[in-house]
Amino acid sequence: MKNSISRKSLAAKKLLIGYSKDPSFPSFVALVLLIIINVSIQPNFFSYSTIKSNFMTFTPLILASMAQGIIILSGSLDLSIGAGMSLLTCIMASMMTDSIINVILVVLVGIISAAVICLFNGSIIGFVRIPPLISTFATSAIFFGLSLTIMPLPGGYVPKYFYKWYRGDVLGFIPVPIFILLIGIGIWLIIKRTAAYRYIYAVGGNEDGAYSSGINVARIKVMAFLMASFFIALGGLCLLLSTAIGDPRAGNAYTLNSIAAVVIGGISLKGGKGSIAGAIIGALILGLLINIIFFMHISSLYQNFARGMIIIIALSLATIPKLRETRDKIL
Amino acid sequence: MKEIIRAENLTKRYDSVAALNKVSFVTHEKEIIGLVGDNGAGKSTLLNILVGLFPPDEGKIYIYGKEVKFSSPGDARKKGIEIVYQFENLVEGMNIYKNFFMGREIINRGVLNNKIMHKKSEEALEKIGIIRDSNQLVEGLSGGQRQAVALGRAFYFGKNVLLLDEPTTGLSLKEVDKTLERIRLIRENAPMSIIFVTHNLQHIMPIADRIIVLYHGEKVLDKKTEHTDIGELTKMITTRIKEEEHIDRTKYI
Repeated sequence: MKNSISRKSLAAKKLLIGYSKDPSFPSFVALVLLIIINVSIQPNFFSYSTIKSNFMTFTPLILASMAQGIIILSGSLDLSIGAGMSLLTCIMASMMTDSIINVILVVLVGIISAAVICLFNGSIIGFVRIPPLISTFATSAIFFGLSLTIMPLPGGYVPKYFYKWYRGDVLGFIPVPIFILLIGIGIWLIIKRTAAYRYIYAVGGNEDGAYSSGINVARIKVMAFLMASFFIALGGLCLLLSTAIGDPRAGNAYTLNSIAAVVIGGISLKGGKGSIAGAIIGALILGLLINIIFFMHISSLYQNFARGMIIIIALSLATIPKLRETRDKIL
Repeated sequence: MKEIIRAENLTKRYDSVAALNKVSFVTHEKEIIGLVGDNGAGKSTLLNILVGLFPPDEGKIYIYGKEVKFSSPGDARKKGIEIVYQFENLVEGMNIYKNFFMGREIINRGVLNNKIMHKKSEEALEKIGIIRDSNQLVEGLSGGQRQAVALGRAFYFGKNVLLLDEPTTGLSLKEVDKTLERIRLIRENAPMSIIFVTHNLQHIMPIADRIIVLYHGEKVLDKKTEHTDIGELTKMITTRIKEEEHIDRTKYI
């Protein structure tokens, strides 16, 4: 009995030591600290209703960050995520009626639209070889223009039962935003076991090496965007359901916030290093930070300042494992 | 010994400059060929053609008597040609076994079989004297260790030809010895030709069966190692004298 306990504690210790070398470890520590601060200023932080309300806000950002994470891991970047999510809310809100079949079909249209948007972005970067910073900046303008064409002002229609569903539960105990997030995580757990997902790391980490290993680099870059489209579609859907309208500007904040979350979560902006788990942690950190600012009655004007500071702190913390590794090599 | 590669009149031009000019050679099973030459001699161009990075403008390549044409590195790999670059083509953020099977993963029902890949990579590395936990990240390895992993991978997958692009450059003396020993082990364990490109004659002489010298895109010497020496090779590398002309010229020395 004693032996099995000590074996378990040894395994846990090994796991912790192993994880401490992971690029997302400093952000995990930061997340724990932020949770402690949140609990101290918001005593009912772990209550069911607070968790549900927090995730209603966090889920679109978490999903956008997962999408951005996959794209950045492949060595690209997507400055059009926010505009893409806005476009999805406009497309879906402009087509919805009260019929359940219509809602299901419109959600499918949303998923297909996300795939088309991402295929367009990926093809420009992978096949035409325009740098992602420029190409996705340009496509963000295109998507914004399309959104304005569909819906010059925020509006459209989302059936009441549908957006109320987002505020409800699945099986009586899983808040819907968490349920949608679990679907996203499930999709990620499936794709991370495929060769294509591994090639995303290879292309992001060493493009020449990946090419000389027989990997079709352009195709993998497009594939990264296509994989990300699942999460953008789910994020766009959550955004639509949380606001209950289509809005050409609804997703604006998600572009930079998703990049910030990815960086905070320890994914290298050069690509090839980090994990989507880190992006999820990064998004949670940003969400909790905004919570703190709200509950401490700090003006929302300081949100950007605080976000910038936390990115710098997170980046500094992220260098610790690297410094430790260099020290180990020297010694 | 069976002939593996027969290259005939390989030519590659960049505008009016011939980076490779009608170079022909053959390689045999279990043969190590030292490919030497100064900067700009055409070594990299020849390697890039053999590895499928670009096709020659003229000339043909045969493997075991059958003409082959490569349109990508993947094509060359399928024909059993592997390369180990000077700056190894490994992905730093990945562990050893993932790098080992990069582009050739073992997949069961659409899902990566990491357990088998982990096991097989360790077995293959052990065969050429590398005992290492293949779960380790590549970024934590020294230059020599990375070179060893790249060699192990090329040995495991290479059926016909192993191309080594300056594999000893930047390594410590100890690591150079180990790398040369591993190359010998590969020759003993596999019936492939090994083309070893280097600037360092001290490294190639003890290990090569034959030396080919390129000068400004032309083959100027192709001799068994025991029939040449560092002095002659240095002259051939630095002076534009073809093999026959060189023999003639010795009359006047």
